[in-house]
Amino acid sequence: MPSVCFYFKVHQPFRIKNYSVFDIGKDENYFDDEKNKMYLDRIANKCYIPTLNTIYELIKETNYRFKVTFGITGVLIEQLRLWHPEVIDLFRKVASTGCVEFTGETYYHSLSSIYSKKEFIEQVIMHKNLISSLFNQIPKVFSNTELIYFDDLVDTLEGLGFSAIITEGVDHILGWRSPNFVYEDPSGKLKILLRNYKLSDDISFRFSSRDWEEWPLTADKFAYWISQYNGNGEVINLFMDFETFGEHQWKETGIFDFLVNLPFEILKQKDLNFMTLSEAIKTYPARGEFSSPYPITWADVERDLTAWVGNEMQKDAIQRLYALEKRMKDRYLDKWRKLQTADHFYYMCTKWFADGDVHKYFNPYESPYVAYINFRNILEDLNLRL
Amino acid sequence: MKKVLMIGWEFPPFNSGGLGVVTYYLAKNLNNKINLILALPKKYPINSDLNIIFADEDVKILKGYQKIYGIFANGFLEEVLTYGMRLLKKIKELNLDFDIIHAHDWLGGFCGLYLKNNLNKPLIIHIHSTEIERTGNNPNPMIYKIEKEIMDNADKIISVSKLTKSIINNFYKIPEEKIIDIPNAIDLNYYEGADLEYFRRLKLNNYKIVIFVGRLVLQKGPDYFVRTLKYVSEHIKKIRYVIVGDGEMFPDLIKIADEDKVLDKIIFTGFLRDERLWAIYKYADLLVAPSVFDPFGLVPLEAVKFGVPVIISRTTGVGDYLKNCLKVDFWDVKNAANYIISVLKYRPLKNELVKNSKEELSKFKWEDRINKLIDIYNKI
Repeated sequence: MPSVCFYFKVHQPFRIKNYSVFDIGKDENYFDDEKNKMYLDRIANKCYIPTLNTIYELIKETNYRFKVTFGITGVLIEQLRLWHPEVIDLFRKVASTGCVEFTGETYYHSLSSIYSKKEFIEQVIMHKNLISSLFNQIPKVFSNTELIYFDDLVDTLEGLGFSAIITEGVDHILGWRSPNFVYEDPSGKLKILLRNYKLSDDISFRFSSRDWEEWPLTADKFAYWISQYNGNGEVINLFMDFETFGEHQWKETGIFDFLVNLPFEILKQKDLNFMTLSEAIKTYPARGEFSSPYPITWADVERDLTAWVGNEMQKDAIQRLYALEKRMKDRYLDKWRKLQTADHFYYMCTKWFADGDVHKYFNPYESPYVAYINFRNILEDLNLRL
Repeated sequence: MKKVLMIGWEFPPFNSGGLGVVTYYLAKNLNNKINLILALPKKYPINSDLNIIFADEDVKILKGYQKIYGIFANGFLEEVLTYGMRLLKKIKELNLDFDIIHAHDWLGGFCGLYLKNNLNKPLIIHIHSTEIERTGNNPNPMIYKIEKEIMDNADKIISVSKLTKSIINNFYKIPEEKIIDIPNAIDLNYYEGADLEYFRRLKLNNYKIVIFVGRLVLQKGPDYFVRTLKYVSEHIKKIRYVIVGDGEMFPDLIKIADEDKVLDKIIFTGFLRDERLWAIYKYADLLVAPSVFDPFGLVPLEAVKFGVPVIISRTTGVGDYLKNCLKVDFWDVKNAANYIISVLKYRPLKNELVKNSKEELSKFKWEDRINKLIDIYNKI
């Protein structure tokens, strides 16, 4: 009897401002409050507030059978505190139903798991403290930035008290195997939950696509698809950006109607239910081993890190950034860490840029080159101050 | 096979800008595929296996003759207005027949319209720039009127960019359906530039070379280029700006550079073509094209071909198609300086710009443009 596990990634970066060569040495305010507030206003109103209200109602109306898991970054919480504290209250309200789990991750949504183990551990602990103080629960399942996973991460995460990690159900690793079971890493220390990218992307990418033969996607159709896994699957992992609701898919596409109906349609099906990620790993044993010696992610078709550190600019920027670690001073620590947020490197991605592919929602830059220039100038400034 | 009369104005090596270059490549590439007659206003000693007719055979080429395209000079307007009459006479003399007239800009367009009215043939007008663009929306009313009359009466209009298409649509009130944008293309063959001793030495001594290539006229924004140098030289000590081109703004540029105390960092080469121009690209670290308005802009593509990263203004038409470059508002001198310094200082930026822009060059093949043109000929 498959259990449906919803996981929503909730994150916004502190975007940096236009920072020119002429600002180096003169301006240590790197972030664009105005722009960040503008984006957050929009996202809070179009997505966070209506979706959280909907989820709260759904949990109650299904008699606490609808369950969801959130991965909220520290940098988003900071921005909500500044400009939309009511959204934090809403998260608390939804969490008070007992049907909500929060995952652990890096506070700054960083790539530190690749570049600095020390930094990674500190950011995970920071985030753990934040979540436990806000929601009174200690994260047990880890969701790394962009769902990065590689085998060497396992010991560190075990040491930090995690019992499972989520990542992408990458085809070339799974082979003939299905993502719809619980797996474990080669050492057996962590359980692994894999994103069912087909079903997840049906909602997050294809939902409003009129070229898609399944358009329009209705809740009963989707529930039927899931029920087809009955007997050959135990967990259906639907992992996506929270902004899918109301932002990536606008309200006008009918995404909220879909969300409102889906829990009832799923619960109508024989033997289907909802679980949080922790419930899933407690309920189902690992059915196989999932291993990747190199980092995988949930991005693009390559499912690797090339969207963040694929080109020369990205590699240069991130190497220079982490090279500052040894000389870091307390006064600049928070700024340095906010610069580690993966989005900054994503904005410098040149893959498909010429095809007019925006590559990411809420990208404030005209081109990856401008993104790099701003970031690089800021690094020069920070370097001078250390 | 369609028989096309193409009405040109200038032609290399007797050209001052892109119009002549584009006419040359269009004619050359069309020649194998359709029956083409190219008409030019005056007889020049042109070496070509194209089928060329001249409206005027007995013109003496003045020494140092150089038509500054688009400038309203003595006798110039008359030449444009009488081109059609002279050409019609020639056509009758030679007893030429053709199916379609394809004329370039208002310079050839007025002639094209005259022929259309007299011979009743469909007319395609190929717009490389409009008076609105050339003058920064301060048009000579007569030229504007002529342009509008030509476009109103043409059967089809080709614009060299989306930018120019929108100008034709908005300022000349031509319905969008009548306009097709066919961006220019470039010769993708690589040519080795000459060895320039002085530039080689500059490079050996780690000087950065930033170039401007174009006529020194308001439209191309050479003054904005010079104004960046004051800021750039603060950060990059070993720098030389190289300005390739002639034009009426030369004295203004000297004045600006002198006021900004950077005159010693600028090299004016005058107008260059072929080996000597390619040589400049070879030594350049960066090309800046801060045009106030440029309907297309072949120069940035040339630079890309030679592996030079480019900064262009947002009001440069090629930016509709070339993505891997930096874009500035032409008036935002300080931001342009910021980008110039960044490209010169941050090697990964330069490398990525060069690599990715080169990959885009395949979008600018003459062959593809010719196929689109033939398609238009066949449908008209």
